[in-house]
This record gives sequence, structure tokens and C-alpha cells, in this order.
Amino acid sequence: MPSLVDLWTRIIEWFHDRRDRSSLILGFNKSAKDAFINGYAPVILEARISKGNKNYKHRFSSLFNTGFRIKAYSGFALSKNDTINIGNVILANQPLVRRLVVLGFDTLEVHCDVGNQGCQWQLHDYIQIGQVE
Amino acid sequence: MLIIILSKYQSAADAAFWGILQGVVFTLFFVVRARLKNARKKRLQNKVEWDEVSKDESDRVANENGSDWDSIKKNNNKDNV
Repeated sequence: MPSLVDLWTRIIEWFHDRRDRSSLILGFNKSAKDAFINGYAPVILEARISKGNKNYKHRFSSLFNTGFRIKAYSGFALSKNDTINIGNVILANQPLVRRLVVLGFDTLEVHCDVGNQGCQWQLHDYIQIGQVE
Repeated sequence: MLIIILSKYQSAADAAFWGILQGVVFTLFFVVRARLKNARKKRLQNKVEWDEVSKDESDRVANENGSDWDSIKKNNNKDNV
């Protein structure tokens, strides 16, 4: 039976996690806009939180809303290869992927603004746990 | 129903007040219901079909095209030439 102090700590941690998740989304969106403006990225990426895939749950998954959804504003329907390319760019950023996992996300979703096709990745496969750089 | 309820009030001011309040509540109810219906319709229209990508497939595409914007742009230009 958790003590009152444990319960209080969990409540405070929950609020901190919510705040950290919001700041991650805001920071990602700002960086994506800057990358597009500077010509580094060919498309504008916009992140938001989604329900996620319940089959991808891991030890740190949140109870609800475990998906990190990225919408790519390309103006035309992207092929599956292009969508996977965008996903790979995100997954190649190890600190970002580890931060996502620690904040309770378990699914990365990428789709474009045209069409209804998208790709999902299980984030736990990409955190290289136990490996030190 | 509205007329029957309003006839319970003895003063015209009371009846007017409650009549206006009921009108506002009903209007809000119908407006909110229409907005929720439209939002649901929009959500169903924009529903995305998700393709689960395995690590092997992801690594294969990364080996072909790279995993940073510069290599992807270079490979895209090569395909378009």
C-alpha cells in the first residue's frame, strides 16, 4: 500500500511529465519550422500527441496517449518509402527517442497532409538500451 | 411545452426571463450538438490507415537512403535525374 508521501510524489511527477511532454512538442515544432525555413528540411513537420498503438506498450508507457504523431506538410501524397525516410530521420536522433520513451511515449506515427496512409514504429526497438556511446 | 411552462409564472417579467433563458439553453444545445456532429464527421473523413513498420524494414530503407535530410535529398535527386 503506497504511503501518502509516495502518492503525493506520483501526483507531482505526473504534472511534471505533462509539462515536459508539452515542452517537448513545442520545442520539436519550433525546431522543425526553423529547419524548414533554413532549407535544411524539405517538408514542415508538426508533432502532436495521439492515442498510440496499444500493442507497443513498454515499462514506461503512459496510461493514455502514448503516440508521438508527426504530420508532414508536403502538399502531395508521400510514398511509403518517403514516410519511412522521415521516420528514420526522427529515429536517428537517439537523445530524442530516449526522451520520448522516458516521457511515456511508445509509438512514433508519421503521415502526410494528403491521403490517409501513415506508418507506425515501436519506439522501444530503437532506444538501444544497455548500450553506451 | 414552452408555453405551458411560461403560463406558470404570474408576472410577465418572470415569464420573459425564464423564456429567454430556455431559448438560450436550447440554442446552445443545438449549436453544440451540430458542432460535435461535424467534428465527428471530419475525424472519420481524415482517419489514417496505419502501416506497422518493423525495425528490419526501417533499417533497410535507412541503408538505401540514409537517415539524415542531406542523404535523403541526395538520393531523391538521383532518382529524379
